[in-house]
Amino acid sequence: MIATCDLRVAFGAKVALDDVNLTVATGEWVGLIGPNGAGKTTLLRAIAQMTAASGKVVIDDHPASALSQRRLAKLIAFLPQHPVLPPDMTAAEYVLLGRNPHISYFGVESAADRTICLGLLDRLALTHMADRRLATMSGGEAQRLVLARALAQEAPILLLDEPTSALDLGRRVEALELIDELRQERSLTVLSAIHDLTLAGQFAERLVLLSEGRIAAEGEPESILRPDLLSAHYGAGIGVVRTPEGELVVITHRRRWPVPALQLIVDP
Amino acid sequence: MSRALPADGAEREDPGAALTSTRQRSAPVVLPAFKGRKQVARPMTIALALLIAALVAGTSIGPANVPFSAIFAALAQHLPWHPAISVSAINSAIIWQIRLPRVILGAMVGAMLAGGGAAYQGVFRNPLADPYLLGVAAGAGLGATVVIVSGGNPNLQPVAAFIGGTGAVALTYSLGASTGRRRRAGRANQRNGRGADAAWTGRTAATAGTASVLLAGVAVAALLTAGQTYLQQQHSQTLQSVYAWILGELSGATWSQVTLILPYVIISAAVLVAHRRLLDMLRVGEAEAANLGVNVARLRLIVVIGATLGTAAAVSVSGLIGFVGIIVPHLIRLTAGASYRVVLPVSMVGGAAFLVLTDIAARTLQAPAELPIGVLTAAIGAPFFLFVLRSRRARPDIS
Repeated sequence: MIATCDLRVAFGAKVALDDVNLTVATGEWVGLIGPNGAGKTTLLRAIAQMTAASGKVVIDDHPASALSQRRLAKLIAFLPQHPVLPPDMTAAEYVLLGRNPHISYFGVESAADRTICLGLLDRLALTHMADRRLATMSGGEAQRLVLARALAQEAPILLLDEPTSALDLGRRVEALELIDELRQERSLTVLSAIHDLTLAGQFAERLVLLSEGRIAAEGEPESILRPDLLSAHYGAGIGVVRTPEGELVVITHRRRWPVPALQLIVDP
Repeated sequence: MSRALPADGAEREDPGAALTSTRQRSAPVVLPAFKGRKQVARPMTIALALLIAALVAGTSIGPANVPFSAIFAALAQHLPWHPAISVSAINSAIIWQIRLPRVILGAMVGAMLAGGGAAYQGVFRNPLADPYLLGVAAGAGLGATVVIVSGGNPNLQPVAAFIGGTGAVALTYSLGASTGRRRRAGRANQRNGRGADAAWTGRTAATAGTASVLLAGVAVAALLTAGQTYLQQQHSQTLQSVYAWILGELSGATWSQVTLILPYVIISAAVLVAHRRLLDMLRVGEAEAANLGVNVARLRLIVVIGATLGTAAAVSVSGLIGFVGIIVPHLIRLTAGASYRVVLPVSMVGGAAFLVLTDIAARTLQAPAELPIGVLTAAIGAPFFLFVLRSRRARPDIS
């Protein structure tokens, strides 16, 4: 369970996050949406105690600011948007890093830690590349690998910062399906910033629309993915289409069509 | 090392059917994934063999012609239950009082410089970091110069150098770390109005201080070097001995120097090797290491203290021997892999071997005169440095 109370973050004069009161229940998937600079990443970083903020963050009944780094890592696994992948490390060694919160300060990984990591590599279909160097991984493989490292922490909460931004369309759905399966297997609480509104609506149970650092709207995807609401905050002509299967698809309208400027360039 | 996939991992029922098709289910998967000790074993064996060869060569080679049998006899004389051996007093003194303390001191100094360099490179995630980065060299140089120009007891020289070296790093660290912390905390308090939670700002400052510490190191080193140069210039009659100290030398090695630095060498080596796993955690960057539960600020402080004790002890008896701290760890990385579980221990053993071998060259190339060992390590180090820079393009993971 994640709860924030009057969360506020400012960088110089710019207020990045203000008055954010958000609760994510155990086992729930909440999607954070909003235009660039709305504060999605800042909110995730503030919850993970990576940025100075005022207000309160409560993780499973513990005030997050009072938790040690190690305790925090046992409760929250954070997937950054651009993870650092040391090129010389093997996939297995990388996943093993996730066991750190469970290893004593001077300790080394136990056989149990290795077993857990091998199980995760197997679960994420990475076993055959366990010994490969990270430099040789494709975007999709690296993405699953980072997920495997996060799962190795065995934390009940997963914070995802644009988990699929580097992936193609097919890999995106695959990755999100995988996260959803794991969430149900392990009753994970998932809070993810996500740019693709269609995917956000398909996977998150609840959407939180951030705008200029504040929560502009929150609720089920049906109530958030409305053309008027989205256009008001994204500033572009945004449409929402419902497929025969009942899924919501968010599309954009060209503002001017045909474009006179384009014709000028083509026809000198 | 091969490791069979555990049965529960391979056989477990998969509730999510979507992935099953892509799963590799080839029955007993042999996985050479966790090399662990095996990964260290080979480079360590090679480094140890080199070190033993260097120690034997260092004890055997010298201007005085001591027969090989006399060397063993001289050594055996000092065993607790040695057989009755006769060896001339001169040969015994050459081996036991001159050569042996020199190779052992050289090995200790080499181990500390290489281990300290590897640790600094890991903790600052900077492939060009050397153990002198935070001002050890400048502080020790000032300390030694003060004793030399004031005509103090030469026995005070290592003590003054040690105090100067550790003092400089303490100054650098307190200035750099507090600047980073104050700046961030101040800003956060100002911004957030309601008073930022102390624990939060402390934690974020932890991951922000690296650049501040490095810059403080540059400033402190410049200041202390200026002081040292001024003293040196004001007392030009002692220029020769100050200069000799700066170039580094092992020629005056004695058993008392060995016992003087031994405790620091043991503490430093133990602290650094104990942090090899955590230094590997830092390879994903400070922010991600913190997310994985590493207290980055504490780790950095402890590793810097460990490396500084060893480096300052080494510098106090040998002067400034450059480049060992850079070339040895990079040689290990290029040949044995970038994991600190390998780089740290193997660098120490390899650094010991390297310095003993370099010292042999230093005292034989122009015998009976001696080349300053610092000149030789730099003469080998500079070309190697360029080689490392070139090969970085191919293998960027050398920090």
